Amino acid sequence: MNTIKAAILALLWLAPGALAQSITSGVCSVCPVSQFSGVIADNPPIAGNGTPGSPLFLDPSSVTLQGNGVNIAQLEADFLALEISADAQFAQIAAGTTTIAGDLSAHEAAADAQFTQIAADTTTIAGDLSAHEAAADAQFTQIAADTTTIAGVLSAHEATADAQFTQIAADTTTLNSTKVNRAGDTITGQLRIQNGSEAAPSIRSMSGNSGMYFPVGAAHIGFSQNDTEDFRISPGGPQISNNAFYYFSGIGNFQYGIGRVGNESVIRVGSFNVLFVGNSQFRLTRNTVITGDGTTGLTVNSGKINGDGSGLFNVGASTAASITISSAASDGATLTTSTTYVEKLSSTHTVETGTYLITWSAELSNNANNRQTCYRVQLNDTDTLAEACPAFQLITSTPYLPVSGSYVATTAAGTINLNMDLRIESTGTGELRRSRFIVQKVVIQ
Amino acid sequence: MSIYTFSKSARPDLQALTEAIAVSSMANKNLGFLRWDENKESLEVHMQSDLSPDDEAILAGLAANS
Repeated sequence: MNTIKAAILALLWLAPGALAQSITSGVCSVCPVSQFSGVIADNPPIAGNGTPGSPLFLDPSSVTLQGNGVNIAQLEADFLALEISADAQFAQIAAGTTTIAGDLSAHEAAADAQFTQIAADTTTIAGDLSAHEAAADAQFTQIAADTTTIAGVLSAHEATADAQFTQIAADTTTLNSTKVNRAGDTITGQLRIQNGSEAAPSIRSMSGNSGMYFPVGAAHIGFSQNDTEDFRISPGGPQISNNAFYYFSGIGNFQYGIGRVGNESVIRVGSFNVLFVGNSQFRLTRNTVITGDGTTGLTVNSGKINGDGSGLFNVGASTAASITISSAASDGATLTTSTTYVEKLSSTHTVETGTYLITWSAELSNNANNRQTCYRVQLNDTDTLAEACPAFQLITSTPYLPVSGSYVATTAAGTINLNMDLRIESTGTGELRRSRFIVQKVVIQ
Repeated sequence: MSIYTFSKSARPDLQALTEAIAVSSMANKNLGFLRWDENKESLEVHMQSDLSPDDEAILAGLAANS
C-alpha cells in the first residue's frame, strides 16, 4: 500500500504532459495526466526527503486536483487482490511453519536418542578406564617391586666389583714392581726369548725384518737381513751365507771382502772377483785380465782353457781383439730327389759387431753315374756364399766329394743365419753329409 | 705341395721308391721329390697335391718297404 501511495505522489509531482508509470500490469489504476486537470503553482509542490525525520510533504497550495483522474474502484480492487494474495502467502507460511515444527520435533527425538546412547557409552568407557587404571596400578606396583630387587642385585655386584678392582689394583702394583718397562729398564736376570727364524728374527729392527735369531737345535747365532740369513756364528767359526759378502772395509770399487755367490766362494777386491768352485777349481770374473810377470807368462798345468758352454770362446786382451768361435754340425746324411734346393743344415750364431771368418765343409754324392748333385751355402737366406754342381762317376758304390770354402763377413751385433742346401740337377739321388759351419771372430791387421 | 713324413731310420733307396710310386695303384702319383734326413730319421714325401686316405695308406706301405 505504501508503494502505491508513493506512486500516486510521484505522479502528482510530474510535470503536465508527461506519462505516469503504471504501478500494476493490466488495468490502468493511475491514468495519464492528460486526464487530470490541475494547476501547478510556482511554489514547490513537494517538500522533504522521504526519509525518517524528513517525510515528503505535498503543498496543497501548489497542487490542485481536478476531475476524476484517479480510479478509486480499481485501486480498491488492486488492494483487495493484494490482500488476498498476502493472506494466501501467510497461510502458506503458516503451513510451512507447521511442517518445520514437525521436522524439528522429529530431529529433537532423534537427538535425544543419540544423547541417551552417548551417555550409555560414556558410562561403559568410564568402566573400562577404571579397569585399566586398576591394571596399570598393579603393574606399577610390580615394577616398583622389581626395581627394588634389581637395586639389591646391583648393590651386591657393585660390592663384588669393588673387591675385584681392589685385587686388580694390588696385582698391578705387583706387576709394576716385577716386569720389564717397555720404555727402558734394568733386568737383573736372564732375558730369554724365542729362537726366531731367518725370516722372523727374535731381535729385529722396527722398520724391517732384519735382526738376530737362534737356529733351533744348534749353538748358532744367525743374522739375517730382509728375511735372509747373511752371517752366522757357529761353533766352528763364523759362516757367510750364499750370495752374501763379508766386507772388511772400503766402499764401492774399493771394497774388499769374502763371500759366496751360488756354490762358489769369492774373494772380492773392488770389482775383481776370484771364485773358487768346489775344492779344485777357481775362475776369474769376466772382463778381468791375467797378467804374467813378463818372464814366464801364464802357464796352465796339464790342462786346457775351456769355453763357458755358450758356444763362444774369447781369447785376447780385450773384446775387440778377441777371437770368437761358434760352430754347428750335421753329420748324418740327407738324401733327396728334389731338383730344387732342400735344407741340409741351418744354424744361427750370436755375434758381436765385428768381422767374422765363416768356413764350411761337407761331403757330396749322387748314386747315379755321371749325374750331378748341387750344394749351396747361404748367409741369412739371401747371400749365396758358394754353390757348385759336380757330377759323379761311380768308381765305387758310394763316392763322396769333399767340398769346403770360407767367407769373411762384417756384421753388426745380433745373430746371423747360415744354411747349407742340396739338390740334384736332373736324375739320381743326391746326398750331402758331414756338414759343418765354423764362425770365428777375427781382427784383420 | 703336400708333405707326408714317415719315421725311417734305415737309409732308403729314393730311386726305387720313386719308381714304386709311379707303378703303384695310387690314384694321385704326382710326386714332387723325396727327402731323407739321417739325423732326424725321417722320410719326407713331397706330393704336388693332397692325397686321398686310400693313397696315403698305400704310400705309407711303400715308404715302410723302401
